[in-house]
Order: sequence, then structure tokens, then C-alpha cells
Amino acid sequence: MSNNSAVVQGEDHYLNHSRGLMSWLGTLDHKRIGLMYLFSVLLFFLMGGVFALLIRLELFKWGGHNLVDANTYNKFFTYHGAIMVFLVVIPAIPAALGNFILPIMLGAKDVAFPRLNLASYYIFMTGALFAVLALFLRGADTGWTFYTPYSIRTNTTVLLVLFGAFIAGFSSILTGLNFIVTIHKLRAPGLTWMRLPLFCWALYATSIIQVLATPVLAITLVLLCMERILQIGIFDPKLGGDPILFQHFFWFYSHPAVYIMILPAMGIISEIIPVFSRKPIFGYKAIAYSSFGIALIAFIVWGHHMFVSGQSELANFVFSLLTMFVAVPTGVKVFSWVGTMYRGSIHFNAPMLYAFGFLELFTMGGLTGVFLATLAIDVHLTNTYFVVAHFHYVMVGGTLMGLLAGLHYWFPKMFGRMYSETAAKIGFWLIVIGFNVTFFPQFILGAQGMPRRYWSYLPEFTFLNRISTLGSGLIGVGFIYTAYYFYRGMRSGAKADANPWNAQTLEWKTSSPPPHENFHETPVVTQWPYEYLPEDTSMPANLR
Amino acid sequence: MLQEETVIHHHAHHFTSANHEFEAAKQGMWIFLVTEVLMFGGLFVAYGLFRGLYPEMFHEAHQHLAVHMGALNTVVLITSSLTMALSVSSAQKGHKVSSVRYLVLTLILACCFLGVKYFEYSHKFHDGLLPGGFFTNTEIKSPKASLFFSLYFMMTGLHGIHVLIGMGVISWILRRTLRGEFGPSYYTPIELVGLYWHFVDLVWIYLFPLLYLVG
Amino acid sequence: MGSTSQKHHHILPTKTALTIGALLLVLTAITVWIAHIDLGPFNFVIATAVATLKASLVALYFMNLKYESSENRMIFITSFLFLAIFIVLTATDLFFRQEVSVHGTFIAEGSSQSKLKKPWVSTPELVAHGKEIYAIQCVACHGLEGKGNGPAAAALNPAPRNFEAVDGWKNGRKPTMVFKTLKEGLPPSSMASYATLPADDRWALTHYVLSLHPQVEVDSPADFARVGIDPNQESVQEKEDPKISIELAMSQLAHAESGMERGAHLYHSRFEQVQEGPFIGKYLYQKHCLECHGDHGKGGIKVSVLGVYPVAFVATHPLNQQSPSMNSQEVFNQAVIRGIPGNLMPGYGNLSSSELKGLYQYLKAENE
Repeated sequence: MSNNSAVVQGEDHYLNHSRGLMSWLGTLDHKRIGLMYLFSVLLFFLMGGVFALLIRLELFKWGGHNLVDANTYNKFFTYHGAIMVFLVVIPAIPAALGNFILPIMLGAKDVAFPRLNLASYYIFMTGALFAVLALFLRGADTGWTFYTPYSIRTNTTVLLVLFGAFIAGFSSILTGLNFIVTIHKLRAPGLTWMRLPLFCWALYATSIIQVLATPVLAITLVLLCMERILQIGIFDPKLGGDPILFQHFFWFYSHPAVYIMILPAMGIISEIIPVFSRKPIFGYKAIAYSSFGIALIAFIVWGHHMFVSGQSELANFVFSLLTMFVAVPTGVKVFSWVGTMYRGSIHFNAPMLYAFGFLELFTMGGLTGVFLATLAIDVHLTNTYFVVAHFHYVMVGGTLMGLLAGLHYWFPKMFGRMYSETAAKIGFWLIVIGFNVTFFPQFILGAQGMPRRYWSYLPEFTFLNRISTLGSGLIGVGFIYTAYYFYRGMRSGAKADANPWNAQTLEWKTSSPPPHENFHETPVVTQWPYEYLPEDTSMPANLR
Repeated sequence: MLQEETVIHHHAHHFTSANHEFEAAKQGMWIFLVTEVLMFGGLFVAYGLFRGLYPEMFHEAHQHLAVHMGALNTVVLITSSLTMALSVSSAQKGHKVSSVRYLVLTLILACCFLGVKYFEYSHKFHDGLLPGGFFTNTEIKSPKASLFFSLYFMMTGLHGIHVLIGMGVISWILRRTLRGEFGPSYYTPIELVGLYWHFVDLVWIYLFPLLYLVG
Repeated sequence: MGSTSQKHHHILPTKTALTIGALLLVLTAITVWIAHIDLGPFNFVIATAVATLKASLVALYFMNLKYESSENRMIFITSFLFLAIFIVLTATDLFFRQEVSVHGTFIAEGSSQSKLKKPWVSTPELVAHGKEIYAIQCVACHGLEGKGNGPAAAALNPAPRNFEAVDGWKNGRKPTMVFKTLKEGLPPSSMASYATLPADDRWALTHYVLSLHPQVEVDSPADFARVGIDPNQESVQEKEDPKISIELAMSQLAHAESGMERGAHLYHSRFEQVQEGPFIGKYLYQKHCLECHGDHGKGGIKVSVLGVYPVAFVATHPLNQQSPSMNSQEVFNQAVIRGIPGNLMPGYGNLSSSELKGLYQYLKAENE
């Protein structure tokens, strides 16, 4: 965890401010907590990724029995889903990058409640521990959605996974709470709402969702645990309850959770595009407010996960209609980004490449979402690989591209060193090509009717499944390569300037890496952070 | 306004003043209460939907709850909320002795609440009015009556856990008050615990008519 | 840095506190009193209103919300707004569920009588009605003008039918054949069966779709015979998928103790007519046990790998020893659920009690 060897000798900064393992485990510094989150999340990402590769390997040949039996396969996709959703994609950007960057962007010395912040980290790890512990017992085979009544009946260790997700949920709540208060109360003098960087706006909207939606997940999981322990029967048809009600409860959280995943990534893209286009952001207010539009709409569309589950036709109609509205604020953002790039002086550095990756993949994911929101089509596509491809385009193509964009963008700030730009470009192409090779065939497979979550398939689907599996290997190589050049950069990369990208948000006004209290003196903000002048097209020479 | 003070509170380094810190902490507490509203909210939603679906069952099942016990507990909890409010304002004015007195009173009332709850629960256990699969009562004729008691135990149970946690934090601030840590210049913890305790009262204010007085 | 007084903060006066406390107690008395008067649905309304009043008093005065910053007030109120969204949208499901159409044989089939006279004869009213249904059911794929260019068309291969083109209609352009397509769909393409629509609506759709191009073919009596219609009759009966209420569907679900068993049950009803218990047993034996224990007492295919000879439960040879695990259902259950340590017999913890019973019965029956 401690990168003391990576530290640039000389001045005092957060990495060398204090030393030893305990100075990390007991730290109240948001930057160190952010890094601890980052490395934990990457560890879970590795775990989830291994399960993904195992799933793809099982599907390499038709007929099942390639690697594991059907029950083990059920556990594999359950673990892939649960780990990736609860332990990777939800905390990845807000808890890791957000924790590191948000207070610096606001010109604050720390988040509002540093102790609570550290507590959130340990709560998160406790929850993760429970979930991972279940792996070594009898696992879980319900899928990450825990649908009743199967989740009540199965003899696997679902209870531990439920408990783990319940605990990890509190971490998410407390992080959201912390961020809202931080943004409300700890902005630097002069940093008015309309001067707030768009990443902060995005995190603000995300935090609101976390605070409003996650408690409902908590009570849902408590009730489900109680179903198993006390047989309360609220979700159990055998005892007079309603299993579809569980789905309402679950998706009231889990649909907004999708926006917990994607909004911060959108924030990162909004930061990167003006910097690398050397132009003021187009439609600042539209981007800021559309985050809130998305946050609000997030709460009124959950029923589109349940079109074929037996909910009423009225509900189907209402949710299908409401879902279409998500496209509006999302479209506003995409068009604003494109508008920003228009006639800009675009620099194709790694962060910008990932921003392009985000735009391409997220747009594909978003538009296929519109297909799925259309009731008549969804009835046929539900539970096929079309859905799998759709949400991987949104979550991997959206969130993960955003995360990688952010990691490349803030890497010099976090570690005070640069990664190899050439290596980053190779890594980008490996990941993006691998991703498309993996998931594009799944759109076709789904449209042809291949159901998801089965450990085998009809022989005619073999060819596309093979391509998909090969693609997943390519993504794997891409990520390992990325980890490698990041590690190289941390240890022996070129020393980074305070502001290597010539950007204007506050985190670039302090040294790299930042000092223990972020700024030597509290910054005073006098202008908007996107004031790029027409003649100001320069990037530092070594990065062009 | 500034009286002689024994305690001087130093605010954390990332705030500009004690008041700044207090406002931030209080806002954090309000947001925490929002999460509580939505957590209890899930149960209220389940309650509302099942009541809408099975009104007769709810009517019949609720007659097996003791209204006088519920009413007594309402009075107890409202009074405890009052004593908590008085304790907070005493602390704000710097009246340590009365603040302590009111806090102790709040604790006693909370114990009374749990005592009454204990008698109610054991009576239900005895009558077989248990949640879901354990429901053995034969007097109630409506099908699915076990659902009512599942909801009853989940809602009052979650509320009861909040009362217990409340007693824990009240004991904690009682200790700190006795040490003389609070005064007109610093009373953040006691005010926040007050907010939490009033919220627990707020939940019960709804639980009482919804569970005990089904029309 | 020293401390400054929190001077802008409002302190609740003792007198106000006592007044509010008293008011709350009075309101409690009122709720209890009113609950004893029968006012029908108003009891609920009044009880909730009084509770809300009480809650507001607590929030405004005890919790000081009245003097709180507007930011914090907004924060607290937001929570109730989202709670309202939660309950209202969930209610659009729970209070509006209809009967569900079920494909299957275990419920008696219903039939529907078409209400119109001779719906296979096109009339302007039927075409207009068909247009309405088209706008709901078909536009997504076939497009607003029937050109096969709806918003979803891009994702479909083969592309949806362009109704303005005459060529290439899989079942032809005769009304009866279009009707047949609507009823059965065109597998394996994305054209689904619309048998859930009433027959009259399907006829209306047929006429509308055909009206998009003037060149209409006429049905011969043989065509009518193929879809089981006598064109001389006034109307016709058509078998319809049975409908069951959501309650019944739930109870069906409840009877299935686990998904496994349900699968076996359906399998059973389709392919074999055997006693239920042992049938599940056979199914499970073949699924889980066959590989090691084998079919006829000689051990399964994995024996050579295992080295230890698994017990031959299904005894055909008189010398084969019975396993002690077969002494009673309880002992059997223990052995199957936990496995036999040191003996390579794995545990099958995910079998339900009725599955274990079926397995045990099957093995017993086979041995006799």
C-alpha cells in the first residue's frame, strides 16, 4: 500500500508526511483513504475479472461441462455480478477518485467528516470480507439480484453475501453524506456554485442518489435475511407474500445505483474534454443540471427491469414511458461534450483517448437502452445476451472508461510522476478493441435469442461465443498491461509538474503530489475553471 | 453572552470556526435522518401496499394488538422527546445540572418504553401471533394474517433497535455532560443526539395509528 | 484558534417546549378517541392526518426545523418526496394487476367468441380500429407508416416487413394468411405471436395492414378451411390461452418448493406418467449419482478414476452389498447432504427434503 519508494524525494507531501503501515491504516487524510479505496477496488476488480474470464471460458465450447458443472457456473456469474457491482463499480469513482480529488477541487483541507470517511472505508472492507467469506463456504447462486423466492430457498450461503452487501451499503451512504456536506460547507472562498467544477456537480448528484436510494437496499436486504431466518413471508408466495414486491424494493435501489456508477464517470469526462480540447466547456449549466435530471429520473424508472416479471400492464406502460425520459438529460450531456470539442484544438493524450472511448461505448450502450425501454421489444429481448451486452456497454464502456480516463488524468497528481504515454495508448487500444470484440457479438447473440445465465447454448451460437471469449482474453491482457505501466510509472516515471495538462481546476494549483493539507495556503477562486482562451492552445511540450 | 467557561472546544483544522463545524455536523445529521426516513420508508411502503390489498385482514389482525399498551408507549415516548428537548436547551444555556436531570429522565422513559414492548411481545409469542412461518394462532380467520404480524414485528423491531441505540448514545452524552464537556459554546453532540431521539419519536408517532388503530 | 459562541442558534424556550409536549399528548388522546368511532375510510385519513400534525410539531419545534436553514429543511423534505415516488409507482403495479395469460396444459383452456359479425370482411370501421391497435403494438418495429422502419428496426435481422411492398410476404397477402401470421408469429424471425390479442383485434389489424397497399388478394374457401373458419357462419369460436389470476399464479409458485422440483415436475408431466416421488428420484439419480454409482450396480464411468468402488444402489446382482446409508431416510439424508468423509462421496446440500425423499424412494423401489 505505501508507495514510499515512489515518493519524489525532497519536499513534504501527503505520501511522505508520515511513514509506516499504521500511518496508512489509521489515516484521516482523504487522499490516503482514496488511495486505499483505489487499491482495494482494484483488488476486487481482479477477482471479479477472474470470474468473468471463467464464465467466458466455460462458454467457449457449446454443450456445457467444459470447465465446471451448471451449479458452479451459477455461482461464477453470481460472484462476477455481485463483486463487480457492489465492490467495484459503485465505489470505484466516488469513493476512490472522488475521495482523492473532490476536497482538493473544492480548495478544502479535507472532507467534512474525516473520521467518518475512514470508518466508511473499514465498513466497506468488512462488507467485502463477508461476501468473500461466502466464497469459501457454499457460495451463492442467486445472481447478484437475489430474486425471491429462490434466494429464500437455496441452500447456498446467500445470507453472508446479503449481509456483506448490507454492510457495504452503509459505506456508500456515509460517503455520500460526507460528500454532500463537504460540497455544501467546505468550498474555498469565491468558489460559488456556478464556478464549481463539473466533476463536483456529478459527485454531488451521485451522493444524493447514494443517500436516498441505498437505505432502501438496506431494508430490502434486512427483510430478505429475515425471510431466511424468521420466515416473515413478505416476499415469499408460500407464506402469502409477494415475490414481485421484492423486485420493486430491489430495483428502487438498484436502478438508481446504475446512475451512482455512471454519473461520476460523466463528471470525469466533463473535466477532461475541455482540457484536451483547449476550449471552454460548452453548456456548463446544462451539464450541471442534467446531472440532477438524471438523478431524479433514476428514481422513477426502475420498473423497466420487470416488464416480464408479472407486474401490471399499467406499471409496464408507465415505466416504459418514464424510461424514455432518461435519454433527454443524457443526450444533453453528450451533445455538450461534442459541442465542446467542435473547433477545439484536440490533444490525443491517454485521458482524452479514454474520453473518446467513453463517448463511443456509452452512446452505444445508451441507445440500445432505448430499444430495451420499448416495451414491445423488451418482451422479446429480456434475459437474452442483448441485455448483457447493453449493460456491459454502459457499465464497462461508461464507468470503467471514465475511471481509466480519470486515473490517467489524475495519475501525475496522485503520485507526482508520469506514466509512459506510448504504453498508455497501447493499453487503450487493447482494452477498447478487446471490449468490442467481447461484447458486440453478444448483441447479435441476444437478438438471435441466446438466453443469459445459462451454462450452455445451442451449437449454432458457437462461433460468436468463441469470438466473445477471445475478446475477453484481450481485455484481460489490456488490464494487466495497464497495471504494469502504472506500476512502472509510480516507481520510476518522469517527475510530474504541478500542472502537467495546463488545466484550470484547483487540484492543479497545488504541487504534485499535494501536501498533507492539500494547499500551503487556502486558495481564493476568482473565475470559472474552464476559461480557456482561443490563443491558449498550448500543452506542455513533452505531452504533445 | 460569553460566560466563564471551563471547557474550550477546538474545532478541526479544515473548518474556519466552531460555528462552521457545528453547521456542517448538523447538516450531516439531517442527511443521516433522510437515510433513516427511507430505510423505515421501505417498511411503510410494504405496509401500505399490503393494507391496500388486504384491508379486512388488517382490520381483523390489528384487534389482537393491545391499544392501551400502544397508547401508553406513545405517551412515554412523547414525554421522553420533551425531556430530551429540554435537556438540549438546558445545555445550550449552560445549565449543566438540569441538562443531566432531563437526560436521566429520558433514559428512564426509554427503559419504560422497552419494558412495555417486552410485555407486548411476550404476549404475542404466547398467543402464537408470530411472523410468517411461525404463526400458529388459530383465532384469526383471515388468510395471510401472518403478514400483518411480520410487518408488526419488523416495524416495531427496527424501531426498538433504534430505541436501544438511542439509549446507548444518550448514555454516552450523559457521561460527557457529567464531565462538563458541553456549554453555550459547544453542544454539538447533545444537539445531534437530540435530533436522532426526536426522529425515533417521529417514527413511533406514525407506527401507533398505523398498527394499533386500523380503522 | 479559540472558540466562539454558537450565537446565531435558536434555543427552544422551556415554555414553548412544554406547550408542544402538552399539545402532542392531547392529539394522542384525540387519535385514540376517534379510532373508536366508525367513519369508514375516514378513520385512516384522520389518523394519518393527526399523526402528520404531531410529526410536524416534533420536527418544527423539538427538532428546531422552524429555525433551521432552508438547506436543511429542503434536505429533510426531499426524503418524503422520494418515499412518495416509491409508494406511488409500486402501487401502479400492485393495485392494477390483471389476469395473466398462461401457456400450458395444467389449467383448462378457455375459448373466446368473436363479438363482431364476419370480422374477416374488411370494413372502414375495422380498418380504423386496426390503425389504433397498430399504433400501440406494431409501430416500434414496423414504423409509423408501415414501411418497416420503426425505431427498433435497425436492430432486427431480418428487417421488419414493409407493408407497402407487395413481394416477399412469407405467408402471402391473403387476409386469412396475415391473420395466421398474427396468431402464430414468424419464427425464427423477431415477428412474435400476437395470440394474446382478441381475434377481432387481429382481424382489424389484418385489414389495416393490407389497406396500406391496394393490391389485396381474395381468400378461397380452402384458405378459410386452413385457419378453421367457415366463411358462411356469422362468427367463429377460437381457442384462447387460458387466463389465471395473479393470486393463482402465486399459489402455483408457492407449491413448487424449489425451482429444481418444479423443473422435474414439468418434465414428469410431459414425458412420463409415473408416481411423483420416485420419478423425481430417478431424475435426480440420473442427474447427480449416475456418473459414480452407475446404472446397474457395476459402478459408473468415474469408478476407474476414483479407485474406491462406489456403492451400487441399484442392485441387479444378488451379491451386491447394501449400503448402511439405506437403512432409513434419516441416515440417507445425512449421507447425501453432508457426504461421507474419507470416502469421496461429496455432499449434495442443495437438495430439498422432498427431493431427498423421492431419491430414497426410488432407490428402495429399484432394489426390491
